[in-house]
Amino acid sequence: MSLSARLTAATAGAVLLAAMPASAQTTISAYVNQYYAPETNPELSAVTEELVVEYEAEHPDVDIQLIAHIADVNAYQAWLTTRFTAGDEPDIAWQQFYQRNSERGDNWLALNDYLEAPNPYAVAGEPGSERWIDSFFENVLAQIRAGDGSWYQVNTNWVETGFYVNEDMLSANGVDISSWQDWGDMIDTCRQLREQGIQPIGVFMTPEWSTYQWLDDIIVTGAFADVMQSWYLEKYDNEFLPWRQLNPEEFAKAVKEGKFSVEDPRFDTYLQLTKDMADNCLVEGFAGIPEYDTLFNMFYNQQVAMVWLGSWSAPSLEDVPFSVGSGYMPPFSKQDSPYAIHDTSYRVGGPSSSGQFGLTARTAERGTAEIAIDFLRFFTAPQNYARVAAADSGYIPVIEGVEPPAVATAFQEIAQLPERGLTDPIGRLNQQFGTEHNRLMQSFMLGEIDAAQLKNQYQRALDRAVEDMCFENEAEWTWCAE
Amino acid sequence: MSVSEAGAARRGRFPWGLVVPTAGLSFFALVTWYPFVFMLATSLKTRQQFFESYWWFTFPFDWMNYVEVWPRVSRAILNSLVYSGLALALTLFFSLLGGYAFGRFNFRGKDILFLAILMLLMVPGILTIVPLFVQMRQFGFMNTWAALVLPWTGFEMVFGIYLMRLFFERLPRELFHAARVEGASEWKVLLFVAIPLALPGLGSVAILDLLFTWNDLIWPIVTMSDQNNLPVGPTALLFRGNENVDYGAIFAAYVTISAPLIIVFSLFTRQFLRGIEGI
Amino acid sequence: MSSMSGSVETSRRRTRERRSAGYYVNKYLPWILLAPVLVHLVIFRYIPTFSAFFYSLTDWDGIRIRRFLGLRNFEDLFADYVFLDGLRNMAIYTSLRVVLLIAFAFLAAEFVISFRSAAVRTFWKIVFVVPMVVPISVTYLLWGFIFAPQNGMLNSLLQAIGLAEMARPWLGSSATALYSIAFVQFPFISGLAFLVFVSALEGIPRDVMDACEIEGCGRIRRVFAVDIPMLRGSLIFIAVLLVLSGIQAVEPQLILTKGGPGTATETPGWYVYRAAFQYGDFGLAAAAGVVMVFVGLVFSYYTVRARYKGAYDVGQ
Repeated sequence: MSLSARLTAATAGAVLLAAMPASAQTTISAYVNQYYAPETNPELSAVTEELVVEYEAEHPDVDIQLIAHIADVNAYQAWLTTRFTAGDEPDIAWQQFYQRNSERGDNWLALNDYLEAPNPYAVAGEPGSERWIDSFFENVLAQIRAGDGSWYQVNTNWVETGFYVNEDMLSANGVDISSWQDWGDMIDTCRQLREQGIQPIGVFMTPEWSTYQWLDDIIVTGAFADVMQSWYLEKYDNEFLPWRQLNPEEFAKAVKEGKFSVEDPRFDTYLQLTKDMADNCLVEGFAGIPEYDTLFNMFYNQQVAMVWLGSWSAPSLEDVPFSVGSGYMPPFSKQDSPYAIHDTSYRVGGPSSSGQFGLTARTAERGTAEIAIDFLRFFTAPQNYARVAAADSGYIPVIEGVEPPAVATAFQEIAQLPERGLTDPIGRLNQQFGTEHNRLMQSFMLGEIDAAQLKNQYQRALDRAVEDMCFENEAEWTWCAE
Repeated sequence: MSVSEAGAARRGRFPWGLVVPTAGLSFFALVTWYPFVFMLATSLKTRQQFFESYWWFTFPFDWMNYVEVWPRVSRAILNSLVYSGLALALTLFFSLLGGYAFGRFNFRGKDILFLAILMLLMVPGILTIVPLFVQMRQFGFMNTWAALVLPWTGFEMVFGIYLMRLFFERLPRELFHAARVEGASEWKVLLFVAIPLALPGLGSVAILDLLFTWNDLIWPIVTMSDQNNLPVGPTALLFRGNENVDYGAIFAAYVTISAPLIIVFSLFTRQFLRGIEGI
Repeated sequence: MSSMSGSVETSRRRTRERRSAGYYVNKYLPWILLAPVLVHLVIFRYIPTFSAFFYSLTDWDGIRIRRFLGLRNFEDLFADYVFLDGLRNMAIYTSLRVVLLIAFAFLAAEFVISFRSAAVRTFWKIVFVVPMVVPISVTYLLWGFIFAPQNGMLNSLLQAIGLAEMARPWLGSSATALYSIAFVQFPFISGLAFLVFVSALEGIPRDVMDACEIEGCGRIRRVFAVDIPMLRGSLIFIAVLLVLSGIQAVEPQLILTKGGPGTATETPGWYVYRAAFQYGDFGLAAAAGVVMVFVGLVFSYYTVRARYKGAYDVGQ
């Protein structure tokens, strides 16, 4: 059966793939996310193709096969997961770093040694020409580092988030969000808008990825700011970053040692702020909006005064029929949170963006890792990456020597803020925890469970996630056994 | 008019017996057709028009959506005609064999075997997606028609066999007896009596099978790595970008890929309806 | 095939020869016919299914089996309130879907057969067949817009007819989310159930219906006294199909709710999807899938048996 089937399959394959070139070249298959999306983003794809052609001209024995973008996230994850299980994944692939870092199995290749070596495509004397790792931003490297201390990806760009506001609507109601001094002012504005029958802030929240997570990051940081620095692990310390984002290992250890716990009074502050936000500011039905376009649509049709969206949305807001302003969350006063230590809010941006590339373990097995890494170095060399970045507005390049596009400049002020102390729930520990967090907070914010019920379940979710992560990282996380 | 309708008319009363069904069905039809109209209306909008009003047609029509999707979608339609066509032929063949064997004969272990086959209806596709994928790869089927057609057939024939069994059981036995008495062999009975009689039943299996294979999404994405080989279902998703979801293009793609199905349906609805009578 | 024994007496020998050849054909013919079917099913259905059953006993990351766990995955499942809530939701969702879909399809079918003209009937059947081509993902996308909180069609409609206080975020509250997703595709007519019911009702001899009405039982009473009992087989058949599709549905979660708010729309089917494609925990995913298979089996066992007894009644 299998032989005849294979023969028929081969015949059919030959018919269907008649155009495939047959040669002794080494083929590298690369899924470069939206950098190659010929249907939806032909301009950007053309730039990427140009780079590939140039690379192949320099390396006639290499054939780079680009795999077109699969925009539907669920479909992409199913695609990649099944390929991993069958050992049929591309040599280069995109993945969210937090998902990569909570994945089971050894699907990816650690890049540490490659990062230490020079990038031959970097101009001599420029960052990267001595060590490839110098091309990348320190804070990004700190954030994407995996539990075992390795880097499995290079992250080439960053997204920022913030408020887009309907200026016309706000000024008609006498609101000026630039006058906000602290969190309390924002809540007052929300109440004022509500009284006028206006929905203040548009976000949506589901048990999976959703825009509310960004606000949660800010709130949890505001409630635990005074202790977060004491959770840093020495091995991740960075003299240039006295305040930085905790990575999953640090957060897991804080949970394990009871430093982040539902018993902490800070957790009550966190819940109180969250409830304030949910009751006063969030658009009615925030837990029943499935995706981002419904939200965009509300903003477009002036049914909500502000939306919290990403830098990548800026281009599509150009044709909105009213004047759009921008803004950000105000700081927490001592009254809002006695544990606040900064007089600013926190920056919610990150490398969970469109440029997160890793080498799959299979490319090493095939013996093509060296070539794949060579192409990746070529692609991330500043002079080359600058060309794709220029065609990709809304995403902020984080490669030394690459200038950000114009849209990103609107976010320059935000980029000065201290980073959020914890990343999105789905990246804090593992994916299971993130889903559980969102699920519980959804119920709490809707008033379907009370604080006591939430705490009970929440602590269990924390403990369970840490237990699982300790099992997965047994060798590296020595503190787990203590 | 039914008896009661006639009676009502005679007595000069309002013909409720006709008005209520007509009104009810018209309402149902309106609501049922709306998604189709929505699909059509959205396919003719720019992104801005979509956000301005999404419930109804907006003017002017933006035909560019169709121009934009046509090269990719036309190719996917050709692919799908091959995949769905092959899967259909195989599914009908297996359903006919299985249905005939179960519907016409008694043999040892028949009930157990039939139940064992029906049990497959309870197995969610999502449960077997990974084991099946691993298997496809071992067979070397990845990125070929076989990776779609053979598993699809495995899924669809279960229901097909069930339907065809019921169908053959309903056929009067005398038809077969007569042929046998006239000296026809079992094979001839199958070929010249059973198959022609089975056509309506096969018609319903065909339509259900086509609806499934035409719209299947995850399995083709998982098995077809070359986008030029994709069938129609996942192709519509290709027009979904990250930041600017171009609904016009997506829906133009959906409308275009629905067109062949509409043609098939309008040609075979009568067959389909006759086949359903067996259930 | 005892009925095949010939009453034709001419040339006994030839009959016997043919019968003996025919005897083997008859004995083995079903198996000859079934052989390709079974081979195909074993390769493409049974092997993957039983592999999944096996994997449910392991810690499987999709590439290799990391540990053999015995029933640990199942213990974990039944200790997880999300899975348990999911089972409850699945029961509610599936029962609602079965009742709603059957009720509306049956009503529409009754409407159709109240017309005597075959042309009118065919017209209505075609009216409800053609929209079947709308892909399921389009349908769910549209219903997302219908249920949207601020400018959703449903809420706008309620406001327009003066029922503004009934407007609510349909998918955004645990009180309504599950019922809302069960309501998707209203009025549920474009599908197999409607066509099966129309055909079955058309199969009832007209004089049986008329006789009842002439005896003064009225249309509504006729439906309960004649139509429903006569349609028993079709009703059970459709119910089983709807139960299976209800158990296995993931589109509502995938496109509309992701299982929320809280656990309001969690189902085992969605649990499988998430465990496999988000957590990469294929062992757990397989275990949840196995539970689904058993729920489906337990439910369907009696109904299928009842149905195919019914089929014998009709066939003989």
